[in-house]
Order: sequence, then C-alpha cells, then structure tokens
Amino acid sequence: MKLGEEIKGYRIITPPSNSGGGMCIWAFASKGGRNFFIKEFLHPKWPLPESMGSEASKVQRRADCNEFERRHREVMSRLLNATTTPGGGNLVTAVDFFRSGTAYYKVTERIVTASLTSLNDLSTRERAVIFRTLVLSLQMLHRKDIVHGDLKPGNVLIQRVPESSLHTAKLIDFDDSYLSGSPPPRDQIVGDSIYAAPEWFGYTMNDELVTAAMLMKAADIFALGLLFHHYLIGELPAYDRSRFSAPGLAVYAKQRLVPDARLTRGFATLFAQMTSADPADRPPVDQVFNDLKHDVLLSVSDSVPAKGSSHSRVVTNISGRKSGSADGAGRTDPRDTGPLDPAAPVSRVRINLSKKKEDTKER
Amino acid sequence: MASSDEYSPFRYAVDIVFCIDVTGSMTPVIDAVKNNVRSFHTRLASTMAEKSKSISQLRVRIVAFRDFADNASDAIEQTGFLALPDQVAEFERFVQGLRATGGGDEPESGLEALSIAIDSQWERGLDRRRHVIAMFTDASAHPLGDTAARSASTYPKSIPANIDGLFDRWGYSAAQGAAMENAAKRLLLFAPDTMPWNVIAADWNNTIFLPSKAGDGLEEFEMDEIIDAIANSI
Repeated sequence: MKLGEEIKGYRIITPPSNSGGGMCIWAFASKGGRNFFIKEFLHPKWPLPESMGSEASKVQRRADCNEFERRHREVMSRLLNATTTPGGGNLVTAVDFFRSGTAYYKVTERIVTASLTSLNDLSTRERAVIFRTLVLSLQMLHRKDIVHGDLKPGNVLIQRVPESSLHTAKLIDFDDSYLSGSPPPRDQIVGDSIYAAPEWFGYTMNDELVTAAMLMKAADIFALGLLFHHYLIGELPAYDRSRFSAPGLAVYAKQRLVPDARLTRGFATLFAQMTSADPADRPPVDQVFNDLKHDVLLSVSDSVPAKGSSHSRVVTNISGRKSGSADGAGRTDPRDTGPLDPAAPVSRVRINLSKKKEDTKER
Repeated sequence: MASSDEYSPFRYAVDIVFCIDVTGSMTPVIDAVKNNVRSFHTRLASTMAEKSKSISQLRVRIVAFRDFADNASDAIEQTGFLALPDQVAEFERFVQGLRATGGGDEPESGLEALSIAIDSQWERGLDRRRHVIAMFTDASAHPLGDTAARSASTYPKSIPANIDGLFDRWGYSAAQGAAMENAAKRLLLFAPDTMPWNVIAADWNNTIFLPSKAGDGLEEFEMDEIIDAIANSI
C-alpha cells in the first residue's frame, strides 16, 4: 500500500503507517467521494503464480490464507447480522474485506475519532449511559458468539450525541475478533496485552493447561472490567507493576488487582467478578448490563475513605463463590454504594484453568 | 501454571539487525545513525514505553554492505549481536568506523546482507521475542545468482543461490526450513520502490515497506521516524 495507489477503487490519500497497527499498516483512502480507513494485513500473503517459493509452499500458504479469510468472513457475517438489530449502529464494522494481489485489506468508514478518554468530568448519569451503550454493543457481539478480542480505550469511541448532553460509546476494530472458543493459533493471536485476560497470556505463552477452547467471551469481560476502571479513575487498577507488565499477567500469576478506593463497594464487587482469574467465574455480559442499571454504582468518591471502614469487602474465594456481599451470593448489590475500605482485602482470585472443560463453559 | 514467585514480566526480548548500505550516496542516513548510536537504546525504550511495551533484553547487530562485484574486500562489514546497554561502547565504535564509500555500479549486495541477517543467531529463549531486520538502502540489489558477485573470494557460502532460496529462509506460517520464527520476525524495508525490494514487500509476510527516493541516502527519514517504525514493529 502506497500513497496515491488505487486498490480496488480505494485511492490511498495519506502516507501508510504502522503506528498502533499491530500486524497491519493503515491509511485513509477515498472512493466515490467518500473517505475510508483502510488496513493492509502483513500476514498472511497470498502467493500469486509469479510469487516466490516452490509450488508445495504455495499450496500451504494458500491454505493458510483460506483459513484466515474464512475466519474474517464468518465474523463479518455475524457482525452484519448484529448491526441490523436495534442499537447495532454503535458497532463500527467493516464495509469491505478483500484481497488485492498478495495482500488482504479491510475497509471501514472514516469516522470522527475524537473521543473522551476519561469520564472524570461527567456526571454519574452520563457515565451510566456510556457504560450501558458500551455493554449493549458487547452484548450484541456476545449473542452472536463473537469475542471482540481487543477491547481497550483506543477501540471505544465515546462521542457526544448531536444536540444532546449525553455521550454514547461506539465499538470499533473487529480485526482481532474470533468465535468464542476458536481463537487464531497461539503464535498468531494478537491484541493489546495491557487489557488481555489471564487465559490470553497462558495461551500465547504456550501454557499446555490453557487451550483454545478457554478463550471465550469471558476474555472480553475481563477487559471490560479494566476498561470500566480506567474510565472511572483514569488509570488501571493497582497491581505489582514492578513484576508484571499487565493486569492480566498479574492475575495469571495469582496476584491481586486492587481497585481504586474511591469506587463504590458495589462497583468493586462487580469489578472483582469481571476480573476473576477463572473465566467461568466472570459474569456474562447480560448480568453486567443488569448490574449497570443502577447509576449510583458508578459514582466516584472525591476522597479516599479512612482505613478500617465498617463496610466489608467482597472476597472471591478459591471455589469461585463470593462472600461478604449484601446478598451473600456474589451478586453486585446496587445498594452497596459506599466507598471502598482500602484496608480491607480485595480479592483472592485464583486461576483454576485446570478444571474440567465442562466447568469452563460459558453461561 | 507458573507460581507468582517464578513468574517473569511480559516483556519482549528484542533482537534487531541493521542492514546498512554503506556505499557512496548513503552519507545522510549513516551520519544520522552515527549521531544517534549512543542514545539509540534509551530512545527505543522510551518510544516503546509510550506504546505500553517494554523490553526485557535488547541486542543489536550490524551488517554493513557494499558490492561483492565491485570490491570483494569491503563488501560486508558486520558485528555479532551486541547487548545494549552493556556493549554500547562496542556498538558505537563499530558504527563510528563506517564510511560511506565505494559500491561501483548502482545495484548493491543488499540481498546478501539480508541473507546474512536472516541467518543471525536469534534469541530462542525467554517468553516473548521480536526478531527485527531493518534494511537501509537507496539502491536496487544484484540478483543472488549474479556470477560476478558469487565469484568474489569473500562471498559467503551460506548465501542461497536465488531469491526463492532466500524466501525459504525467511519462511511463512508452518514453513519447514525457515531460519526465523514466524510469530517473532519482522522486516522493515527503508528502500526504493525498485526490484527486488518491492517484490519482497509484496511476497514476504510480516514485512513493512517504507519506500525511499533512489540515490538520496534515505535523506527523507528522520531518526525519530525510524525508531518509531522499529518500536511499532515490536
């Protein structure tokens, strides 16, 4: 892809860049008077008759390409179906996917990318609207059995609704999406490790106890929990940054994530569930949506409460059951809106990926 | 499952091989490399930190090339991998010794340099690896079967006989006989839009082509841009 080049009618109008592109290079393009965002995948490459390599290698490479293409088309087909349902407009999906020459390309509409990165200045009500539109979008994906695979602030556009004081969240970039339980091979799966789930780390690092079937929709729930924390506080939860480069890696190594003490206990309960080490212990997206119906859950205290508050904290024990919450069943209690007690234990999440497969089925 | 005590952070062990055309016209980019060699590792780490990435181990290697067909004695100058920052003095000494001179006719021995780079002793341990080859040239390259080059007394025996052989060494997903790990490897081509670079950019996976103006010594690239492109590829 080069500046000025025309690829399937898309004229490249900005210099291609690999900034933030992972295994892609990207640029803006125009076609028919409209502007688009176009990505060229660096892998795989379709061998043409005149391409390098033996015929045997070309057969192998084409098989690799066919699988790549099948995976993308399957996800795109399900996404197309999701976007036609009410609220589906918040999923910014590809308008074109094709091969030209040796390379694959994906095209989306060029959208205004100005996006809020922190919700600190918004009211609790405004935050709740954003969170709910984001969760609704994820719900549409999950109902189609699609794992987004790369949930992070850069892939969520928070924009003001025209002629309204409210913002909504649009979900973008489904290039790393896959069907639940069927991720790309271990050496090809991508995504931002900062928001990755513990099972993603196990899978990419060839942990034999972590199989492809374990990379399910719950991986998105883990990322969503981190994303919520980031939006409410402006940063990720605390963990041992001197030893771990990402929250999911800390959880994979049986370490704790400590949510900010200014958050409500109700939110902390939900957060602890969403970032559980065991995917089976994370709530499904429908439950997250229900919990978020109570705006007050998302309030943020102006100050850190004193240590030794009388409120107890939810503890996820090794069996995955919760204790200490208001209803004693591990459900988020919307009444539990007091700030966190920083002295209380946070969560003792425990990864238990060696469970039998049926234990890790999605709910 | 690793226990927390034996667990290491999720960082990348990064090996970078710089293939640098050191023929007459390449003064601009060679001067830029010389001016930045001492701070390269800190600038790379800082650029990567901005992208929320970190490095557990950084090693660099240089394969400087001219033209076997023109002068066999100075066609390749190279280092092994040098660990940074521990061996930064050695890295700097080698880079400061590079002179942009010679080369004879316009095609150079870039493919031989690329072949030597591919066959580097890449890091095979540690959790996450990135093996990056960054090619800097403002010229096309002699084909690998070139008899004048192959008859040079210093011509390495390990160089494949043709571009297909070189492609096999680069490999692809599930390739047998590849010298590099498919998931770890990246090729950055700072090169003109001519043979063989444009064909390699089209056919080889994990390859990023940043076309330059032929014969201008990559004058259009700022060092920040080069470091950014390398950091993005990791």
